[in-house]
Amino acid sequence: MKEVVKLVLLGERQNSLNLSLYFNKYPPTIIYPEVLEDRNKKLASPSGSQRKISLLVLNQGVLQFNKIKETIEKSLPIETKVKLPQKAYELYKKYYQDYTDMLNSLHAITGKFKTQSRLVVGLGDESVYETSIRLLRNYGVPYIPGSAIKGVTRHLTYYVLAEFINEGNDFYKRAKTVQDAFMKGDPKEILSNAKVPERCSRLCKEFLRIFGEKKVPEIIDELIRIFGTQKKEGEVVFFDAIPIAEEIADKPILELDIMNPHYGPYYQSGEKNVPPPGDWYDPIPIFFLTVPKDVPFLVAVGGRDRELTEKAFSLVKLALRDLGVGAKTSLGYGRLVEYV
Amino acid sequence: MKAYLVGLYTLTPTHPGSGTELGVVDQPIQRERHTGFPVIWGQSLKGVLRSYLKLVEKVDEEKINKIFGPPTEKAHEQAGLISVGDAKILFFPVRSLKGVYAYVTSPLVLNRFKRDLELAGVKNFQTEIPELTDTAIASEEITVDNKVILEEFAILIQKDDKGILESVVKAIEQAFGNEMAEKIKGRIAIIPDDVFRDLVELSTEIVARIRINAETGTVETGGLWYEEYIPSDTLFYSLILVTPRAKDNDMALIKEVLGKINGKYLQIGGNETVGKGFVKVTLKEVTNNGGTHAK
Repeated sequence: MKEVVKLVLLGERQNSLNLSLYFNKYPPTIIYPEVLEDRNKKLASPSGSQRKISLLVLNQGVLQFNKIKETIEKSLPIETKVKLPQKAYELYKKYYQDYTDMLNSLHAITGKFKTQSRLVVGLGDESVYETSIRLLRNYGVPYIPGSAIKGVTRHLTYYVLAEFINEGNDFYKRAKTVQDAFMKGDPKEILSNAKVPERCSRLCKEFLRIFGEKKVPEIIDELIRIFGTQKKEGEVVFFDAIPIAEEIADKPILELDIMNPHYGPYYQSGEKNVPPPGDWYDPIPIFFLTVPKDVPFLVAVGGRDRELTEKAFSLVKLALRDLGVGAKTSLGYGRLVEYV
Repeated sequence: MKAYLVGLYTLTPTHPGSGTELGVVDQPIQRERHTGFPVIWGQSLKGVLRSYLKLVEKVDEEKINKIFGPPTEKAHEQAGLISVGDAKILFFPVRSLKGVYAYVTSPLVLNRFKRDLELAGVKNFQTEIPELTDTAIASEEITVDNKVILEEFAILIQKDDKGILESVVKAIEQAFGNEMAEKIKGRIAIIPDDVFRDLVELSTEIVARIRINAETGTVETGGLWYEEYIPSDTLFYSLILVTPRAKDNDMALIKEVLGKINGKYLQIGGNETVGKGFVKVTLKEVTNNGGTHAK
């Protein structure tokens, strides 16, 4: 079996390998048990070298264990960007065509968005690599789930509405009050004294522009219709955003990234008594895959009420630009901007 | 008796839910009790068709009530003219180490499909169905070194000397049209029944969903749950049988109204608002004097 897998990797890595299957079920430890037996455990370290080995095998077709070992130990260069294999691309192109046909038939509003920074959704999903990234199961292409887009757009509205109420000073506590109001299903009652503040932030101004002349209670009504509550389903569909097929033909869709926590044991200790953070800890590099900058995605929302759907789309635009989607948004990851 | 053969091809992951369960997966999908295969219950599908025709195609309430039966509170007044069968699985996409992914089916699935069509009155529906114990028949594009490797399963290939794959493609073209046949062509794997059952059980999509707390920006307590989805690119089929009571003008009405779903997109199951459950529909009229005719 292992020999067959190697055979496939040798022959198919550029052609018809399914990246989602490869990263999911064929990590180096499966194909090279020697990795686990490695004396100094350098290669076996789950967060360290495994990702690098998997890319080495994928991109450079290095299949001999000795060569792998040498490359990693001597820190020889590794191609860290991943393109979609040719056959997978052809199949994905057909799927993309079907998907856009569907969106057109459903009269969805669509827009092309480009990543302004790296993007990673599903970093914490279960994986042998300790880190993960969400890929379309059948095609191995990264995507942004509709639930992530809806979630971040919903949060954008919470943050704007938090400016509209003035109970308590803590901004984030107010945002939570708004969230709870929406979750319970009658936000209008709880937010009855919400009003547009005198000093409205830039985001708040852009938000108000979307709703035109509408008053606050009317805006809340429309937000309820867009997102729904626990009592009533939302009227707008937030579709998965998938990469624009024609534009990723020869472009990397994944690249290796690294986080390097310096005080791991201190962070992990919780309540226990451990030395404070300092240079007595070793930095532990953790590798993970991301979507690179400048990858184009097709973002789509649909609904029966055109005007409402257009408002939802404008909100999505603000949310993707300002809040970002996926993991590590506070470090600038996951921002997307519409382009023509 | 008249019947319609419905093909449902998932374009986005689909969650025909069976409710909340106490397992690893909080929200599993509907499955057949006896086989463990994913299924979309007839009553779910009937509801979807009814509301689609009413809300999207704007068919008269009166016509809908006649075909589907009156709403629950008036259910005793008359029965509907059609009965919608469970949507059963025909092809399930599984990631393949070679050839990206395969459309997987099994002898049991194919036999059942053939039997269902015969029940509906199709007599000239010919397809060779192999007997398999521990080998598979698969298109060349997805085989390597005499094996097909699906997820982590490696299955030995047996020679397709009876031209079974070709006959299956033909049958699919006959039943669901050329577009569908082109899709599966070259990527079919007919595998033993028990492996098929394992794959449809173990390789559905399990998605972790979270709810973020607006105050902390982290996952809320109790805000993590797992949902199971039928992957995109799965093909289901269902039979809509027309009651023998139906008169000629009823037949014409059914044909006119049901005809509207052919080539359209339906939304089935949970989580519509995050883009899940969109399927493309094909519809073929089946007559009992043999053969299927394109609508």
